Amino acid sequence: MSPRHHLDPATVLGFAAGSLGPEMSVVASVHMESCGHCRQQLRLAERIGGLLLDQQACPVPGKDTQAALRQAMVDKLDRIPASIAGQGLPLMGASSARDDADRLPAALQPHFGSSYRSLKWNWMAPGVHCIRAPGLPSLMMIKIAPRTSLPIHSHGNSELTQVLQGAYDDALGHFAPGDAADLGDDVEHQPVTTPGVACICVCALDAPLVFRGWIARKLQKVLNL
Amino acid sequence: MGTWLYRVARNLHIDRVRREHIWVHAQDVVDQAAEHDVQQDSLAELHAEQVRLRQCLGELSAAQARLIRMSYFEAKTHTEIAKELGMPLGTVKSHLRRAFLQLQSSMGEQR
Repeated sequence: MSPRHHLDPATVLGFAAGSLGPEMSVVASVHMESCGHCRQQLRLAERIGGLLLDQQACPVPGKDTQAALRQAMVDKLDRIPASIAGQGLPLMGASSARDDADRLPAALQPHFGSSYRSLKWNWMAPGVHCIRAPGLPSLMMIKIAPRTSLPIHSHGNSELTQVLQGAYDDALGHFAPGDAADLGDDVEHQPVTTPGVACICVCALDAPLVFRGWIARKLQKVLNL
Repeated sequence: MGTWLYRVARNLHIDRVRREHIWVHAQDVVDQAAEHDVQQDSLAELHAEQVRLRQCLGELSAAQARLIRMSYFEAKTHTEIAKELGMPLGTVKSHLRRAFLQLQSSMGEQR
């Protein structure tokens, strides 16, 4: 998998800063799981964070505070991160995840399960099914039948979509597995899925979509898009 | 070292203060994928890049520097920054994008 459409540098910077919303963070990590280019960008963004931290003029804490901070740091380094130890957030071996065509990307597994075959799709519109992540309603997986044209729409704020299977075309180009569509409120598009297999994507929205057509606008209230 | 400390501080803050386990897991996934990424730079090259990067950070425009700091130190989303400063979201993103690309190209010039 060699992505041709990458994350916006502003999104990489937000990920490095820990300032992306949770839904956007999940989709960004799905992309970076398979994109060496964006992981390299992330390393630079983290180096910028390191330099900014270095430039901060912080008051020197007292000896007791220093000792407590040091102990907290040592404790943190000694213990297994909670995200690995439990809480339903398993980490999968990256290579096995890539090798197994039925296995969802590791970043999605806490929210949607581990297997494409076990996904319980909900009907949304003719040729379109979706699953919303429990507790994160604006993170969803979408399955669109081949040769399906979605309504023309733009975005209230941002949309971040990662193609997992199949492909689609729009005015921005051809989006295949591994590609990310990192779109702002200034982009209007109409994705059309390619012939062959269904297109499965995961997407995060931080505001409702904006549809041009009145039918789509009516349906939007029912579908909560 | 600075980058490592930054990562530890950021992850501690998100894990302990914000208690956002979703974010921590997302970060873990990327870290795991990066385990086999090749690091080609020598220590000397990394140091030279760091010096250049520090210099370029100081050369960012006031608007770019402010947005970068709001993103890193106040952990504000792009939308929150846009609302707080009364700027269109696209303007916030384009400022951050240009700042990042400027810093990146400065490192490229070093090689």
